[in-house]
Amino acid sequence: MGLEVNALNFAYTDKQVLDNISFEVKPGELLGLLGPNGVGKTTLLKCINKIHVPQAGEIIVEGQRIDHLSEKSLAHHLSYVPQSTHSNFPVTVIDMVMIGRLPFMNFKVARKDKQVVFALLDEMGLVEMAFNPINRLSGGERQRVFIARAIAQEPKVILLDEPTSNLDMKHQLEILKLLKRTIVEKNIAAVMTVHDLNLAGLFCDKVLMLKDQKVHAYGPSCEVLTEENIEIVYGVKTEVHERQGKHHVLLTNQ
Amino acid sequence: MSEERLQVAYKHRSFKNIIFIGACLALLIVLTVLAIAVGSADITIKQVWQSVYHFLAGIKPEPSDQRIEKIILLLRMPRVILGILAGIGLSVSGTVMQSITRNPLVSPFTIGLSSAAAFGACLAIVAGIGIKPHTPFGIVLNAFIMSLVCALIVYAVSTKIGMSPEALILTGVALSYFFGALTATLQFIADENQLSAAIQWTFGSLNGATWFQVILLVVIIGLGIPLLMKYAWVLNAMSSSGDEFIKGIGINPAKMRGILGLVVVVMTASIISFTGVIGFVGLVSPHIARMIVGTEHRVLIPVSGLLGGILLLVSDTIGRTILSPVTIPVGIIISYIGVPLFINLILVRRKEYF
Repeated sequence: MGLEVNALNFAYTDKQVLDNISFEVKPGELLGLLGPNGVGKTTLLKCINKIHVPQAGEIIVEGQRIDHLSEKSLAHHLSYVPQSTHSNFPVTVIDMVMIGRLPFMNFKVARKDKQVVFALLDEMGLVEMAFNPINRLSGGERQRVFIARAIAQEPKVILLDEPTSNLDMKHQLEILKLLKRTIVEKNIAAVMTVHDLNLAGLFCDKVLMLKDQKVHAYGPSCEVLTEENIEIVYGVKTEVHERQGKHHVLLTNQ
Repeated sequence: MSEERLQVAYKHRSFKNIIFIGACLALLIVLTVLAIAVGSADITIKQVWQSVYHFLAGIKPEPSDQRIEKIILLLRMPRVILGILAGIGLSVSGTVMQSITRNPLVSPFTIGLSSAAAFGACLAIVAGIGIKPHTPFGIVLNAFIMSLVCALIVYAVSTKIGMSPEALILTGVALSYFFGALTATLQFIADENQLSAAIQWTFGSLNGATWFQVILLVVIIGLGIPLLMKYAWVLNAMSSSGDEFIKGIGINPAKMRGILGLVVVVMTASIISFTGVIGFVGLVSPHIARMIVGTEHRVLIPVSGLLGGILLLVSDTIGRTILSPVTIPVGIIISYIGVPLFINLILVRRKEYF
């Protein structure tokens, strides 16, 4: 169960983007999607999210191939956290999180919808600001709102597009701790794209490195985050140190 | 513990919103009765009730009351009700347009409907082109058809490029200028009488309102608003989140923009075909409503509609009475009233809103 991607191929009309991508994320696991800008990380998320249709390969969510599921029923299993966006209207936190319940709702907000949302706001520390417009929140708080909205969908798989971009160190740690705790508690398989290799080393159970349309390396983060791999994929020399089983990446100026 | 607090606060908010909708509705009804009574012919509120009662019960009024009852039933009532319907329809359309484009600067006219309608009217008045162009109904029909043509072009062009908010707005704005140029060309070659009639049309007024128009708008708005309300949650999502996320929760944003846009186009086009261009109300009532009740469309749609109805009714009543017996077009008055009200609200509630 969880998420399984087998031999995925995707091309825009004129350009191959993803070639023979395979990986698996089990419930409660966090997979980090690594690679330089423009390598196709977001495209891969969009294939899993059924926004793009791959030319070949299969994507399996909770044992079901997503091309056999309607968008609506996929939304019952899978949710997506986009990069933090600004809203042009003063949407309150509670209304924003409630939108995550939309796949289950018609017009009326059912008791179950309220229960899920209220409990989530509590778990995510958003009770105090529940009725504030999201534009007045800090970047970290807003990211918590978007994660809460995705969890409100009660997904089995969650995709996150750079959840830590635009955040300072404290809030990067806070968001990822919260995410990690939530997916373990609720048994969700999570995939996130991330640029900070140290955060990937600290929080991801597994990482997948993309290079030239292909999977360059895939496995437990302590095995994949090596000086060689990083140099091949990013073209940057680094020093990788191990501390308490986690890999830490130091940039060098060479 | 905090969950219970949320429960209470959420309930409290819903309760407050329902009360507010009720209060707006009550205010609108009171203002309607007052507006029917106010005007160059002095009428008491009792006479208003009496003539409505006589009409409904099929009682023939005393000969001495006949003139008054005729004024009430055939002049004042259709005018007042048409104004309310126009205000409701334009405001709800504005709310939905802003939400499906995620753009607070959009009004029902952003996609070119008003310029196209003005061109249609002008075509009938000046060039005599259209179905029965020399009758008032021919002008209405021409205006309506031309707005639909405009909407169709906007739709055709924006679908080609994925029906994004930007595609809709930019094609609409471009077409506005195009129809504006067409209208100006006609006005350039028009004689004085035609020019005056064509310009009068664009002022936006409720002169010559009839029960036929009222009934037609009741049907169109009566079908349109419940349909939009049915999509309230979709609108909640579309107004607050990007298309990527929208697709992720199983909604096709391009399709929704098509469906909801069509409802808005039909409502707006039928209103402005009868009244001419009444701008501003469709831009501003959605914002006033958001400042008061927030962005949840199940509440926002009725509130912005009711506020729009009130705003238009008050404006027209002032327009009818302030320089009586001259009637100033409601399209002019509404900006005089709406703009200070809006700016005041922006200043007072700025922090929460922007």
